Amino acid sequence: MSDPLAALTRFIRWVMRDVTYHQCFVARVERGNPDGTVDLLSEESALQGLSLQSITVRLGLPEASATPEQGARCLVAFEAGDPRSPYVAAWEDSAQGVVRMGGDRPVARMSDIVEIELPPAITVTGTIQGTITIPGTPPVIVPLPPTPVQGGVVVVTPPPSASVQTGNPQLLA
Amino acid sequence: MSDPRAALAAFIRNVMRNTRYHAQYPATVQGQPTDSTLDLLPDDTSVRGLGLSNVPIRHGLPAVTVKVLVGSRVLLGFEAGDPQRPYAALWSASSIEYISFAGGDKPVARIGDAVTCFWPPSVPITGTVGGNALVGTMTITSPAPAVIGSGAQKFRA
Repeated sequence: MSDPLAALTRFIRWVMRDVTYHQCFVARVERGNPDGTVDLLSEESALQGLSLQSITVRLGLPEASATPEQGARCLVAFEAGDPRSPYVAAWEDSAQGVVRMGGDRPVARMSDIVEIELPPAITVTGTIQGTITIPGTPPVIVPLPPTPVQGGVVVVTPPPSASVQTGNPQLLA
Repeated sequence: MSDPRAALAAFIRNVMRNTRYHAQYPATVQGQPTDSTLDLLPDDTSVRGLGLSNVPIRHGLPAVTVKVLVGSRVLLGFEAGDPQRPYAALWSASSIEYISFAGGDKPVARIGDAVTCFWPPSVPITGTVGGNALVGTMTITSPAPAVIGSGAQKFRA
């Protein structure tokens, strides 16, 4: 005759079996899909037999989307504790991938290169001063006193370079 | 004689005791030993113990790391309901030192941020000086200041 307490224990666990999917389980990305879902692999026993294909990714920020790299480790949770409704709930620190915040252009960072677009010729009107170098051997350098310039044209070749000098120190990329 | 209903309730609670670790518990950050782990003190005394050390952080975005300040608030959960597998996720609005994407360590630039322009060594110039034609070059020794004029409207920093 079986132990009545053991039988009751099994009965209670059977009645409460749905709480199994109130937990989060570890999985890793097998591949990302064009629609933003991911196919997952997991060695957790509770996930064996469940379809882990085309799983929705819920991100911690609205407007964000992500393309995780293959092998990225994540936590799988279940909407309403339903094993038919898995979703990716969080990512391990080591998970790599591309994150998009409503756009698809890379974010500029401090010291990144800036391309400057200037018109072919810049008209200059004002006063110049300095020195004039007359080519020769040796070249002759003569002082140029403050001199009015009208209709001067400056052609900058090659285009100047530039770099970003400041940024938000709390968001690094 | 004890109440049979209370005894049954206690028995059921004992059978289902592992579900305690299905929940997420508010906790306070006491330290961040590494980029990816935290020392936590849960509010709930039933899971507090002496505090939890080296709890892995789980993020809402892949490729993210954070450096948070002591005293920040976060939720403590348990993978597969296992008390031996705690994790920290879902932050309250709190102070951070920084958020880093993809291991980057450069601050993100924003509209209005400064840009420094470096000119080529010699800039050709043509024009008129004192009524005479001028053809020559000029050297601009000082970098030119500029600012970033546009950016993603929905992503601000």
